[in-house]
Amino acid sequence: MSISEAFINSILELDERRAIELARVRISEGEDPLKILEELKTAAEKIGEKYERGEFFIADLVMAGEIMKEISELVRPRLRELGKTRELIGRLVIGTVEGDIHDIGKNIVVTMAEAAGFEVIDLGVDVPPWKFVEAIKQYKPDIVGMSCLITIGIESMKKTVDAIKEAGLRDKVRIIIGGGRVDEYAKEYSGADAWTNDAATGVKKMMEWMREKR
Amino acid sequence: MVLVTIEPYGSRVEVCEGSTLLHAIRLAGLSITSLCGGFGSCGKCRVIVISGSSKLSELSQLEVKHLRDSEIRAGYRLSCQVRAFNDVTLYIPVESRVRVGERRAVTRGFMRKVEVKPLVKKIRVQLPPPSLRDQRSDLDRLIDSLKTVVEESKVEVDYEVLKNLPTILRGSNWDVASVLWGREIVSIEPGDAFSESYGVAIDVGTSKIVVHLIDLTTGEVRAVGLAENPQLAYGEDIVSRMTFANISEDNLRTLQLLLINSINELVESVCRQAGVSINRVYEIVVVGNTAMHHFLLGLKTKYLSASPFTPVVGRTISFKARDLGVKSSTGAIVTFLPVIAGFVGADAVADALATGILSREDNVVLLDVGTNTEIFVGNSERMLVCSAPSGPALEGAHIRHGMKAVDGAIEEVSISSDGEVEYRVIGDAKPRGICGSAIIDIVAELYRNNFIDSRGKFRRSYGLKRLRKSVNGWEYVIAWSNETSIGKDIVVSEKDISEVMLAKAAIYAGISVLLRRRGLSERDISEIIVAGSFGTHINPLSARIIGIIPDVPGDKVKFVGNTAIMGADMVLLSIDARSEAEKVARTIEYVELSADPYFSEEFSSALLIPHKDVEKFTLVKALLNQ
Repeated sequence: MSISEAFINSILELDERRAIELARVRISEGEDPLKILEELKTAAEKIGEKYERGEFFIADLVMAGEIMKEISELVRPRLRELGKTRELIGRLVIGTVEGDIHDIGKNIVVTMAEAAGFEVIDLGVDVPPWKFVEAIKQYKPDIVGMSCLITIGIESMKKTVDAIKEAGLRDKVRIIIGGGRVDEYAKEYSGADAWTNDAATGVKKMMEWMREKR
Repeated sequence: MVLVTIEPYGSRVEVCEGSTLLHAIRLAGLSITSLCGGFGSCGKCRVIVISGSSKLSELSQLEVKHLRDSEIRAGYRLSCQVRAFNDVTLYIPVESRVRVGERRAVTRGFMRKVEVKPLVKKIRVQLPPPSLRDQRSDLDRLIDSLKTVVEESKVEVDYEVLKNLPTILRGSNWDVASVLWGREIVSIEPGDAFSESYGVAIDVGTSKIVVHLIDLTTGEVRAVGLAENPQLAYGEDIVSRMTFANISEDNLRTLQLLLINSINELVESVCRQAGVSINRVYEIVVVGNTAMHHFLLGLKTKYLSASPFTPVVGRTISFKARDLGVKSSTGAIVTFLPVIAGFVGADAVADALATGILSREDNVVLLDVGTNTEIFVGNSERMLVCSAPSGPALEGAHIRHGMKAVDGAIEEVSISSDGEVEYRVIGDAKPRGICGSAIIDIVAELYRNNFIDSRGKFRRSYGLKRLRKSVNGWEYVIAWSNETSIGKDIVVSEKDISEVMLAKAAIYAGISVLLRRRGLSERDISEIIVAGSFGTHINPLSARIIGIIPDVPGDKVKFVGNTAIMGADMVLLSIDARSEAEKVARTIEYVELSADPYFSEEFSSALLIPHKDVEKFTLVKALLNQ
C-alpha cells in the first residue's frame, strides 16, 4: 500500500492519530502539500459514498470532518511557505439561517466543500438575512448555502432569498438549502435553486454547478 | 364527511374529506406514536389500511422513504401522510401504539430537609360579634384578629372571599379559620376546618405530568397522581409542539386546554385518594420546562422556539388559580417557579433546589437527561448551567426498534463473551422494542466485549451468530423474532449506535464546556447527581463505559429520581425555599452551548467510546482490562 492509500484509508477508518501522523511525515519529507489536499478531496468523496451506502452516519461525518479540518490546518501553512495556492473551484458563503443554531450539518458541509476545493466563508449560526446579503456583496460567491434543522428555519430561508432578491443579487448566485426538514416544497417556497438532506449530495450538486459555470 | 374505523379499538369517527388518518385517530381520542407531530419525518405513526385503500391519497415520498416495499405491500401507511377521501378502516399495529400498560415513571425523588414553614397559613380565630358599641366592618373585625400574624395595613383580601365573608362569619358563629397566602386572605372557612391545609405541586413534563398533594401542616405527601402529557398527540418533542402552537392562537389554546384538563383530573384524583376536599387546596406550585410553562400559561412560544430563545417571563409569577381554570379553593393561588432560559426551565430550578447544589462547597455535576439535557456544574461560589442538545435517541426515538420505557420494552441487556444476549423486559410481556436504558447497556456491552470499536463500528471478523448485514447495514440481534411480540427480530444497527454516540457526545461535551469555563477538570468533580426518571433506570457503569458521564468512582454517582416535583413540594412547604428558587434562577449563570467556541471541538472528541482522550477514562479502562 502506498503512503497515499494508507493516508486516505486512515481517514476513512476515522483513525485520527494515524492520519495526522502520516500528514506530518509527508510534509516533513517535503511532499507537495497540494497532493495531500487533493487526496483529502478523494477521501471526502469516498466518505460521501460511504454515507450514501449506509456505512457511515452523521457521527462519522463529524469525526471525519474534524480529521480533515486538522489535516488541512497542518497543510495550509506549508502551502503558504511555498508560495503556492490551491486552485479553487468556486466560492461558497454558508450559514445556519436566522432563528436556528444547529450547525452539525452545516459544519460537515463546510469541511467537505473545502476538501472539494471550494473557498468557504462560514457565517456561523442564527445568521440574519442582511448578513447573507452583505457577505454576497463583500465576497461575491458563486453559491450561497443555507442550513436549518427546525421547521421555523424554512421561513427564514424564504426571508433570506427575498432579501437577496431585493438587493438585486439573486442572479449573481446559486442558492442551495440543506437540513433535516428541507424538501422540494421548502425549495419552492423559499425560492432556492436546490435542496439536500445530506452534506455529500449537497457538495456534489455544488460541484456540478461549478462545472456548468465553466 | 367520511367515516374512519379504527381497529383494534372499533372506534368510529367522522372527519372531513381529505383529512389525514392521524387527525382522525386524534379526534377519536386514541393515541398513536407520532414523534414529529405529523410532519412525516419520524416514520413512527404507521397504520395498516384494512379496507378503503383505493380512496386514499397516493403514497408520499416520505412514506416511500420510511416504509419498506414489503410493508407497503402489506398495506402499511404513515397516518400523518395519508388523506381519506372515502370511508376507510385502519388498524393501529402494536408498534405504533402508545399506551400499552402504564409508562414507567418516577413520581418522587430526593429532597433535602426543610423546616415546614409554608407561605400558606391557616389561623383559627374567635371574633367578637358586632354590636352598637362595636360597629367595625366584617373585614376590619377579621383583620384586627389577625394582627399578630400580619400587619393590618398590608392585608389584602380576595374578592370572592369578601363576597362570602358576611355569610361565613355569621354561619360559623364568628368562629372562623382564615387562610393567608402571605398577606392576602385567600379563604375564610368555619373554624373547625382549621387543621386542613393543602397545597398541590405539579411537574409538567414533556411526556408526563406528576402531581403531589401536600399536607401543609405536616409536610407530608398525601397522594401522588400521574398522567401522560395529553399533548403527545401533537408531537413527542417540544419543538414539534411549539411549531404547532406557533401556527395560530387556537392551536396554542388547544395545547393549553389539554394541560389544564389533565391537571384538573389529576388534582381531583389526588384529593379523592386522600379524602381531602378540593376546597382545602390553597396553593398550586407548577414546575416544568420553559415550553410547558408557556403552554400552561397560554403564552406565545414563537420567540421561545427560535434563536435567541427568549421566554415571555422568567421570574416567579403567582396569580389566581381560577383565572387559569385550575380547580382548587376559590381564592387559591397558582405559582409558576422561575425559568432560567429557553431550554433551562423551572424543572431545572426545582432540581437545583431539591438537591441543594447551591449550598455545596465541593464541585458537583447535576444532570437531568432528556431530549435537552440540563447540566449544572459548580458549587456555592459559582454555578453554571447549560442545555445540551442530546436529542431523543436515549428516549428511544431515532432508534430503529427504540421505544419508551413502557410495557414490552427491553430495559436491561447483558452480552456474554460468546455474543449471547440476556435481557429483561418491562411488564409481563414479550419484548416489542428497546428503551433508552437498554440501548446504553447494549452499546456498553458490545464495546466491553470488543464487538464494536471505539467508533461504534462492528468488528466484522468475529463471525458472531447475532451479527449480520441487512439492507439497513450491519446489525446485532438482541431478540429473535420468536421471542418478540412483533414477529420480527429486534436489532441494534450501526446507525442506532451512531445515534447514541451523538446523544452521549452532546451531554459529555456540555459537561466539558462547563468544566472548562469554571476552570475545573473531571478530577475536581466530587459528585455526579443524575436527576429525572431516565437517570433512575440507567446502569451507571454502562453510562461510564460509553462516556455519557465523566469517569468517576461508582459511589460518586448518585441517582436522585424526580427532583423537579420535589423542588415544587419544597416551595409549597417553605418560605425560605421559595426565595431560594428565585435566587437559583438569578444567580446561576446560563451558558449557551451553540455560542461556545469549544463546544463543537468537545463534541467531536466525545464521539468516540468512551472519549478521544482515553486518559480521562482510566477507571473504566482498568475495569475492562480485568
